[in-house]
Amino acid sequence: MQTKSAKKMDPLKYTLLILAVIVFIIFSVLLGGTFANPSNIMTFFRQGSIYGFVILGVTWVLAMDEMDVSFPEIAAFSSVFCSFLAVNGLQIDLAVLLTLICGALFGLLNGILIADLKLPSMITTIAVSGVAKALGNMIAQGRTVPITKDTTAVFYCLTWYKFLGIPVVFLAFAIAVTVLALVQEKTRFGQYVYAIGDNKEAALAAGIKIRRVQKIVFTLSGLFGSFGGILIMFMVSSGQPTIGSTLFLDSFTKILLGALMLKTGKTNMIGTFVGVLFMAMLVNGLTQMGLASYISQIITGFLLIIGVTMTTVIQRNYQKNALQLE
Amino acid sequence: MTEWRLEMRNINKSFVSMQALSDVSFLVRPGEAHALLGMNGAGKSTLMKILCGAYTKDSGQILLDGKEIQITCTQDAIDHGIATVYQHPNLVQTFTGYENVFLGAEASKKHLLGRFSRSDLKKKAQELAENYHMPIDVSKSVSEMKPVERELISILHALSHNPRVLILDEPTSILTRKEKNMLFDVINVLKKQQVSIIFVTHRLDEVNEACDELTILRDGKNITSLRIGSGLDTSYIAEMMLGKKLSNLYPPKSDRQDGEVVLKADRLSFNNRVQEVSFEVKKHEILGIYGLVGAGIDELSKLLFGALKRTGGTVCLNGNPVYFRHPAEAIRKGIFLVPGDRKTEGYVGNMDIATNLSLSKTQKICYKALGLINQGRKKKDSLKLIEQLHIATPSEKKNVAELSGGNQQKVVVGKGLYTDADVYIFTEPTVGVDVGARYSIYEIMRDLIQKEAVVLLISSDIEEIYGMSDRILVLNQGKAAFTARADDTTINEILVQAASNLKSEEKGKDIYE
Ligand SMILES: Nc1ncnc2c1ncn2[C@@H]1O[C@H](COP(=O)(O)OP(=O)(O)OP(=O)(O)O)[C@@H](O)[C@H]1O
Ligand SMILES: [Mg+2]
Repeated sequence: MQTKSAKKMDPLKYTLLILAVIVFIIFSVLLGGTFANPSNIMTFFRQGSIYGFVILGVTWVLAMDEMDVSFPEIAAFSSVFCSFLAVNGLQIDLAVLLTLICGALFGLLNGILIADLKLPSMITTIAVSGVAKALGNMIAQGRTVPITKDTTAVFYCLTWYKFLGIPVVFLAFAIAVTVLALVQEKTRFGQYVYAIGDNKEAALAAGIKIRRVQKIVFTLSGLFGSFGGILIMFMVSSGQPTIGSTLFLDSFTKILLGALMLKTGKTNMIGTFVGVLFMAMLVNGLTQMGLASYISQIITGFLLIIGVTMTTVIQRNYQKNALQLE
Repeated sequence: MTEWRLEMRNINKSFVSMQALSDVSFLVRPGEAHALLGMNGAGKSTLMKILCGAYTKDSGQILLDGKEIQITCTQDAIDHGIATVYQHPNLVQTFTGYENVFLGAEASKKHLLGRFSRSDLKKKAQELAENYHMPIDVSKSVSEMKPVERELISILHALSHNPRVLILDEPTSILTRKEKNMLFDVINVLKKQQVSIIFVTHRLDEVNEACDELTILRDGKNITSLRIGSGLDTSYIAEMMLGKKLSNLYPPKSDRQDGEVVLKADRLSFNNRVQEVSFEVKKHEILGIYGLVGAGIDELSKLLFGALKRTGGTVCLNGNPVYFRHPAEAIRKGIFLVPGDRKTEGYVGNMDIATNLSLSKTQKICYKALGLINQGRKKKDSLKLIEQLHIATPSEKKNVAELSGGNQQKVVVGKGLYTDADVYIFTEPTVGVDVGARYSIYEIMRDLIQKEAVVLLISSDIEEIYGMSDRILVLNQGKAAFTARADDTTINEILVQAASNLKSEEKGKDIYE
């Protein structure tokens, strides 16, 4: 937005990009050709995109000033449920479709409880998250569910194919982000997500159907969680009942780092896109340097704190402005 | 066609703890400005919120142009052409002005994926503002706007719907004379277009100026409705509102003079917005500070309170130089600011009255040794303040957000009183407060200076400044333009001093008749 204070904070808007470039250079120097070569870059683009799909929906949940902690477990459930259906003989594309519907229904359940029954979103999604996790474990009986490779499945192609050397899933991710960013910036829906996030009462007074927007956003969150979960299943060729807990920290880090981009401390699609690629690069580089995965978890944790600190500072500046205290 | 544009008949509404409206009827003609009057908590806002869909009525009928309509949500009201300017500007802070003006009506397409272009909205908002002669930059973000600008944005938001009925709930409370005239012009234009205007206010002079008819509510019941002919018998109206006779508007001034200096500012500066302002406040004295918007009053009060850091000059309290980095230090040293913009600065809406009242001085109600809160003391003290200030509430446990607008203001004032400060800075203390309670707030100020404290009164209501202050300081473009004892000056002189040296075209508009 072209407001004065946004202009003042211009350098801040691109913090994440600058950080990404710096990290890229550091890794390139330290690791040389093994890091900065096209095939490696495409590898982490593909991985990043797969995990990125999981958080597209929840980006708007946070923008709306609500919370959704259930999407990681919905992703885990989806990966297990889809593989379970496939293993039991359902045509794989049908299994995917059915799973996506289930994921969306989980999201809608969240939405109905939060919008219509006015339950707090944090508690509601914790509960739904528990249900999804339990169901996933029940189906998988606590184990991973391997699937047989089916190279004709749509999602298989999506996960593994390349187009002109670029992973299809990255292209799909980029297109999805572009479409969602346009919806966010150019349509009433996007406008209302942010209006509700800032001042619910004002949105209500302006005749905005808040509950409908909330339900749509939570449904999308479930749907994308499920979509990402299915991609992960194809990537590792098995349903994974336990991916939820790792997704949790990574996802929020990406989204909140993304909030540093563009929209003055609000989570947004473009920010999430950059956050996703940044984290993918970071993990890739750290792994190549031979650091154990818990070290990269610690670094992720720190990044999350940095992200949150900076968004809070930005928002506090905004409030100060609102009080005209400077 | 019936005679009435809007008929609200036998409306009832109760909240958990109380009956807010009982059998209220309210009738408005097309092309008429209708004043809705009553004391704080009389039920004015509640009635209007039912009309605009924010609350649902328990029973009763609403008819528009003779046809019964159902209003179950705000969108219904907007669809029927009922637009509202709420008592508190209800805006999305991070959005620009024009985005707020068209919030909920960005695109002609109804569905959620309707696309819109920000540059179109901006253009349309600018045109709308120009149509009604409102000089406002709609492309600024609301968080950077002054309260007055926010109010204008809310008004534009309502006008953007081309309403048949326009509800204005205390729209003038923070407007200066200039914007008020602007608003009255808008009202006149709308009246010619046969729009019905409902005007909620506590200022009887405005009723006289802008309205054709009035209805009075008291304790959620109809008292009377009458046409405003040539003139308005204000004391009669006040009596109907209060249910008792009202004597004076302002308590008598004290005759104690020449106490020692309590607060002294010497060449106080803040960038170029406050320039070398010096003044003294003596014991037993109320200093009134007056200036037009942008004169630096807001900044001055925040400088004294430590919310802004001064760029030059000194402040002495009881002879000792002081410098506050933070309002908490100012409060500890005995300076308290009763803020003007109660919604953002004044109270914590989701806490009860008692907690809010004691918030700035919690140590007063704590057991010394343990730091635990003494609930009995808290209750006793807050009940005392509730009574002193006539806060209309069933108990001290009610959430402040659920109080009527005027009563919220009283809580903010009460919170200040509770700090036992040496210097009280009141900014716009009686905004939205009914005539009866106004008097008690004035009396409390007088009481304060009888004791040890001094009072700085900042108000855009010139009569209030003149009626209450012992001495008056006029700011003009950041400079101290004029100081005088109230007895030695006139309202006219104050206004001239406040407006002189302004660009000539602004000057004409700013002067109060
Ligand atoms: N949401 C609510 N919950 C509980 N009580 C409420 C609520 N809204 C209003 N009330 C109560 O209803 C009564 C009428 O309030 P209302 O806001 O209509 O008064 P008002 O006439 O607008 O007063 P003012 O001049 O102070 O704005 C008040 O006593 C108030 O405490
Ligand atoms: Mg009111």
